[in-house]
Amino acid sequence: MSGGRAVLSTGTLYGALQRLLAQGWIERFEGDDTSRDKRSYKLTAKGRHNLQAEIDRMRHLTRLAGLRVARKEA
Amino acid sequence: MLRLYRSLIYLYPAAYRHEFGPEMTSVFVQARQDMREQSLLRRGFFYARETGGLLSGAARSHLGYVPVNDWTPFRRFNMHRQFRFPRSTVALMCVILAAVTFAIEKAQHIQADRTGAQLRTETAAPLILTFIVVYVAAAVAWGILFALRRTGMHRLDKVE
Repeated sequence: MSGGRAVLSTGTLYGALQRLLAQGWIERFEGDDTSRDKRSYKLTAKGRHNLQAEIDRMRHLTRLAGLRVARKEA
Repeated sequence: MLRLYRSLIYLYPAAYRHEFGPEMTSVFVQARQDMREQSLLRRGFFYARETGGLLSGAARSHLGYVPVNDWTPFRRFNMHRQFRFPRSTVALMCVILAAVTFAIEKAQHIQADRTGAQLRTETAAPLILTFIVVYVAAAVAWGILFALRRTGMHRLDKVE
């Protein structure tokens, strides 16, 4: 998904998943493949709302950064 | 390596291990298979990363590091337009300062009553006066900056 830019160890990944589960941002659900030990996760309504807020914030920041760079170059 | 991985998972608390252990092992096995075609150096980095991740993850889970507020996962990238703390904090801090000052004052009076000594200095008045002077100076400075539209929020708005 990140094209190899973000590489996480399983310890780090599951630490993050545990936090997101505890905060109610994600939840488990029954995936198609139940033969393995792996489980599937999906965003909750709260998680989706927070993700959207974070996307908006980052979009705002990148727009400001773009304006800054454009002003410097002008 | 799988045996080492499984043994490192035992460093986690039992509840965590039961909840995530098999899943973590399964993901590790798959990641290891994906790394099979990679160079020895890359595989070395992979195993080092996994070992480090497990050790730090186990330490964090034992320390009970489960942040419950929403800003912690993105703390490093935080830059908000809002104030960093609720404005009611200022009022609460004033109340706390007044309570502490009153307690000190009361204690000095009790000490003076018990020892029969004369109460020489008043603690509350200089403290409150200092606080008021500093607070007013800060408010005036901020008001000037606000009138000149030079606060951080104004500068951020100007960029837009």
